[in-house]
Amino acid sequence: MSMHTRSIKLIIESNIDHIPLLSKAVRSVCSTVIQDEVLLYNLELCLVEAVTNVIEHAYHQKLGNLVEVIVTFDENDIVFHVIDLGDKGVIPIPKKELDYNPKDVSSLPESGMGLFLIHRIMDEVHLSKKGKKNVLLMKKYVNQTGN
Amino acid sequence: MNIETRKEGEIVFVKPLSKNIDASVCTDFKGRVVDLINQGNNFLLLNLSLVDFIDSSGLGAIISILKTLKLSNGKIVICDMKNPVLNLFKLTRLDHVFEICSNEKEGLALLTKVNKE
Repeated sequence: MSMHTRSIKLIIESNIDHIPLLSKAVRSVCSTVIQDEVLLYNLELCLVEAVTNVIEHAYHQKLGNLVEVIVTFDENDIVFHVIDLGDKGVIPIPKKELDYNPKDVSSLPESGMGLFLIHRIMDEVHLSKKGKKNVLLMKKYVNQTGN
Repeated sequence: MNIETRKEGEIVFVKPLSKNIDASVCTDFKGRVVDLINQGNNFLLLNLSLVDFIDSSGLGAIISILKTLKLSNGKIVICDMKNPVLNLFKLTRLDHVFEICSNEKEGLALLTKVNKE
């Protein structure tokens, strides 16, 4: 771990309506080292997709549970740990492309794009179990210029 | 979710006033627009100029609107997307699915042309 590593922990209740509070806070943290608007958006998007997955699939949209996010960053990368105590972790399945025909509207997906986006945007994605905790790690390599 | 709508001829302008189209609002958003379609409005110009953030749930809602319109031989054009939102459409290849214009004027011209064909 670099000498310049910094970290922040944020916790929300398992309520979909609370996700923007979390994501805007994390975006603000990321903006201290990243200037690129598209990259900031994409990082926020991955966090939103991961936390939405936790609330919908690990907690089955039941209120009263907690979702913990730890953001760690240094000059080389940004890491999100998304931690929950839900039934089981949502296993991220790598997808290279969304499977549909752009000319066939009926083939367009209305769901299931979140995990694709996480894998498409992030450089590393791992899911692990630590005791009762499901821990999703998402890492994005960045450089000192914030690109 | 607040949405501004207005009608010019056969074309309905739909402008979400929320900064986010995400899991917390996508069902309401989709329902309100589908209601417009079910009232016989088949040509929609979706202005996303005020929208800063769309997640996969929001994309799913927009896809669902497109599918509903296809059933009534309708058409949707999206305009005024901010660059990160447009990039999301490119990541998911939806820029090859939707007609995308840089502003309302272009979108209106495109929809008017389609409506006359």
